[in-house]
Amino acid sequence: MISCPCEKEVRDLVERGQWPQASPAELRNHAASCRVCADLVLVATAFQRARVSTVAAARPVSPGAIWWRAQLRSRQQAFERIQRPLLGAQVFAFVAVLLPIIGLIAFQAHNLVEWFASLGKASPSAQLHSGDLASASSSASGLIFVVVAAATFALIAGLALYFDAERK
Amino acid sequence: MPWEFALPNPLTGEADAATQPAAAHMDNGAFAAFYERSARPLWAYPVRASCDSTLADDLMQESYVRFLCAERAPSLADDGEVAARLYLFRIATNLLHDHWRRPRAASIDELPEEAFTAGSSHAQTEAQAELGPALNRMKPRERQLLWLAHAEGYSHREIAQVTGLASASIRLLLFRARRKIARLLREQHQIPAGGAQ
Repeated sequence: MISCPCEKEVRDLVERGQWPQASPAELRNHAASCRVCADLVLVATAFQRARVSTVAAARPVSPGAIWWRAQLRSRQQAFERIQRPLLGAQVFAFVAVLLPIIGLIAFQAHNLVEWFASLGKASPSAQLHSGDLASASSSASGLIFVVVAAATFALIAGLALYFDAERK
Repeated sequence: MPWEFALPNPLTGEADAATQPAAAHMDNGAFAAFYERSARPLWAYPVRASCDSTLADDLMQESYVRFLCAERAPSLADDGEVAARLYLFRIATNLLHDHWRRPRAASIDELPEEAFTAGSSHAQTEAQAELGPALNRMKPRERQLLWLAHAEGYSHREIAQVTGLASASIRLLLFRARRKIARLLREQHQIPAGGAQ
């Protein structure tokens, strides 16, 4: 790459619109013999003229329309920001409820199978003893207790997550 | 209070600083004045870089919308208008790159120049007739660099901020682009090459 010490001076004169009329004669003579400065003058003057004509041809929309669009975009972004922790809390709560239920079902699977089998074998009135009824009802109440506890935990955890996300 | 009421109302201009960055660094009147001063030069940049005035209209509007919505946009009062303009040109540059990448998942340097020159509807002016044919034969990145340097008068450091390129490489890229377009302009206008260097 070749550079010229006069490059900056020539460029400043072209950008200020002072080339070539208001530029020193020695600089004009230099630009006529220097490839770097000749290129610079040719290109910079062409771009300056192009800028003037292009800027004059611009027909920008009103700033009010842009402002309006930006307000709408801001509103949409704010809405999404508010929705994000809500969605996160919902997903967490769903997973927090689902996982203990699945775990409980897996853990109590053999008991449930036995219970359903005993229900199938027993006749409605004759073979149902008081001991069977008591064990079945205690097993069911235990299951309900665990599900309620898991749901309460999920609800509290979800709320905590939501408030934490909102605070952030 | 229901969360719907915490949102800014675009019709009345009500705003909450936490939820509306547009109002955080500029008010409506200041923006209108800034827009009047900067919209035309900003429009000229994508027009000349893409040779497509319709695209330039879209990019210019999108640039301002993103500028207003950006949380870290420079403030006119604190950072000054030059920083705000550079930020706008940076957004426009990124939007141009996104546009060029969209049809083909390839680097813009690999795309042929013809892909960027079709669909021009800009008025044929004398200056365009002078610069247009040569500019159309340049690569998009070369057009961007040349426009920023010679039409907008940005320094190498400012061009690096706008384009995201390394400041050190701008000088070399610009030198090559300038030499190339000077040769094309000379061929176009039958100007003899000047200089002995």
